[in-house]
Amino acid sequence: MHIAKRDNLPVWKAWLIRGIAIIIAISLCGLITYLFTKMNPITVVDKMFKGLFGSERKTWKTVYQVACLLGISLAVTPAFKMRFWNIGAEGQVLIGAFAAAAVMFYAGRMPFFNDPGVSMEVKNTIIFPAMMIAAVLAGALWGFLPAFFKSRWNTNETLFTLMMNYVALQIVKFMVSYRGFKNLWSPNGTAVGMINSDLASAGIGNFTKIGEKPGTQYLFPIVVVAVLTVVLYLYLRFSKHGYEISVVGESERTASYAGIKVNRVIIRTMILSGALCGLVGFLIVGAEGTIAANSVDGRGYTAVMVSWMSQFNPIGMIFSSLLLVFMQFGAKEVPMPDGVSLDKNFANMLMAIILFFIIGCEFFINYQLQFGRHKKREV
Amino acid sequence: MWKFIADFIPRAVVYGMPLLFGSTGEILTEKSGNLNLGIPGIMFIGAIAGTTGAYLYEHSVAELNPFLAIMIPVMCCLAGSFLMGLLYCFLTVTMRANQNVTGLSMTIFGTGFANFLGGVLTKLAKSDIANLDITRSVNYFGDGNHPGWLAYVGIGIAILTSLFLRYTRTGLQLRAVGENPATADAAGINVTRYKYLATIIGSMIAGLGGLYYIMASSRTWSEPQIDAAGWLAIAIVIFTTWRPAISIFASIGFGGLLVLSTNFPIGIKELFELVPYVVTLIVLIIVSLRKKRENLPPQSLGLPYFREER
Repeated sequence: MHIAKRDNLPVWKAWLIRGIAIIIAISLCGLITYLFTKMNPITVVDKMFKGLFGSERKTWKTVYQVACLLGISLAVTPAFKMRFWNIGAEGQVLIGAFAAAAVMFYAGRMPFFNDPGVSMEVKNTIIFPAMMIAAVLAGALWGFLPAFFKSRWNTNETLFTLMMNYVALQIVKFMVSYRGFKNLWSPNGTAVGMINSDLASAGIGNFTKIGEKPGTQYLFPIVVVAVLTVVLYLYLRFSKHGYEISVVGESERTASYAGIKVNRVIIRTMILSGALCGLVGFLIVGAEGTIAANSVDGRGYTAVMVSWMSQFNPIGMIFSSLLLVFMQFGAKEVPMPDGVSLDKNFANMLMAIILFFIIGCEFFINYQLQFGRHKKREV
Repeated sequence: MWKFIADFIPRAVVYGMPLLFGSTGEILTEKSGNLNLGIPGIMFIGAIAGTTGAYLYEHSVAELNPFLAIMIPVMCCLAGSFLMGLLYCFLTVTMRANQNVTGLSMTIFGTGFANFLGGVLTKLAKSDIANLDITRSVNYFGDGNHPGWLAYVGIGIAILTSLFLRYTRTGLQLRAVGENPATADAAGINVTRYKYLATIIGSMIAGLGGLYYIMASSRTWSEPQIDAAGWLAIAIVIFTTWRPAISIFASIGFGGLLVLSTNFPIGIKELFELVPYVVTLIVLIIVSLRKKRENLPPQSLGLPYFREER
């Protein structure tokens, strides 16, 4: 048996292989779910569907979860396309969220924002951009540091960004739990509650008041992420920057021979990547109105998977994030005998199984197996 | 003062041992060029496999046989982490998948599987308390304040790994595979076999770290934070610049930091937990600044090897 690299597989064939892999994986997941719940898989899917899209509010929330995951996946994509293994999205989003929450909080303590004479719209027009800028800057800083050291001294970026995740996590944990700050951030309680909820004009700096109906606070993040999807698609596909990113990703040497300043591209792209992660952090804080150590809740890592399993294609990412969110949040809706309910852990396990299949199937897309002695020409 | 130190050091060892197992396993793995980010997941699988074994054994016999009480959890743990290592190798070496993506998926899988199974077992046990009753088995692994025999095994493994990498011919060849697989291949070294063996043995060592966490550190299954220990173990790999013997001290040191942090009020505790990551970052930067060959990561770390690729 002999393994050879495929020349060029037609795109539809590649997606066919992926489709088959996903179908096998989902069947396996169904089987596992059946073994645990002894329920008809169709009933399970039906329950998941009802739990996620059963009411208007639930639908909003589900779409919002998809938007969050999609947003982070989009954010990490430019870096990945450059083969810069940025697994620091978790930290970049969290530190962005933290910066946004801090602005929201401290603005809420300023006299101007407590002045009942000023209308809510005016206050929010000032505070939203401020939160966004803070979040974007914080995320960009978290993206810039590993890129700087990578381009200067070739510091391993995977390990660097991994550590930065924990630095961000511990900073946030410290800020929301240290007594001195905790009393400020959350006067009573262990977790930081709804920020600014105590103000007469509750909802300064979060999207709750933008929409009237319940669930519509999720409208803004959804719209932003939708726009981002289109913009990033165009950026990667048609802009000069996007072209430079893919050349650097293919081969740094080729890029530098072609006159591309590789270091500059790396730093620029990572700042972009981090800034977009920060933006998503802002969206999360804006929609949820609070910050916690688990505000990102592993989605930074899941996003790496989404980006990779969609082959860095923003359109593919929409479907991948939908699939993963459906599984992660849908599993909670399925009860099990003996009072054990399927939970997030179970969903994560199934998600990983699907990922294993997708990871494995890439082999059949990139390589072909040749059995026996091959008579055809030697490449 | 003496009493404090005499109390403190054993507890630091108890907290540090999962890190030592994890980092030793990861060093062995990385020396073959595989950056296995699945270590937290592997440790989780090792832990739940061992715990399940202990639980089933403990609740099927009235009187525990010391030999079986030790061997059943250990063997289950080794088998579980062996399978995880095999999966990682199959995907990254044979199927040539991306190592970061594979590793992260394994961490997601391991964390999800272990916590789910742990939850199911706890519910099935119908105990009043929300943890798994393995109180009799854990006594064979130490008493919570003292490291227990498995700690000596861990230190032994770390020393042996160090000697193996440094002084044996096989160790030299393994390092060659990690530095430059093409050259190693040309010199007649079976790259695939080395990658498989190093990664699988590495993940079995790491799996023991998960077992130690449950059996000797926390002594019960109750929402364990093994993933945090796993990521910290990966940090230690960098911190010690890929040296298992130094990792003995680093792990105990970081373990000591964790012990100290429990004495402080919430908030300050979080700052203490920040220290290992910041220190590791600084070491990572300094090492890359100084560019001393023996301190740098293995050159082909994280890169797949395909002979026919140019």
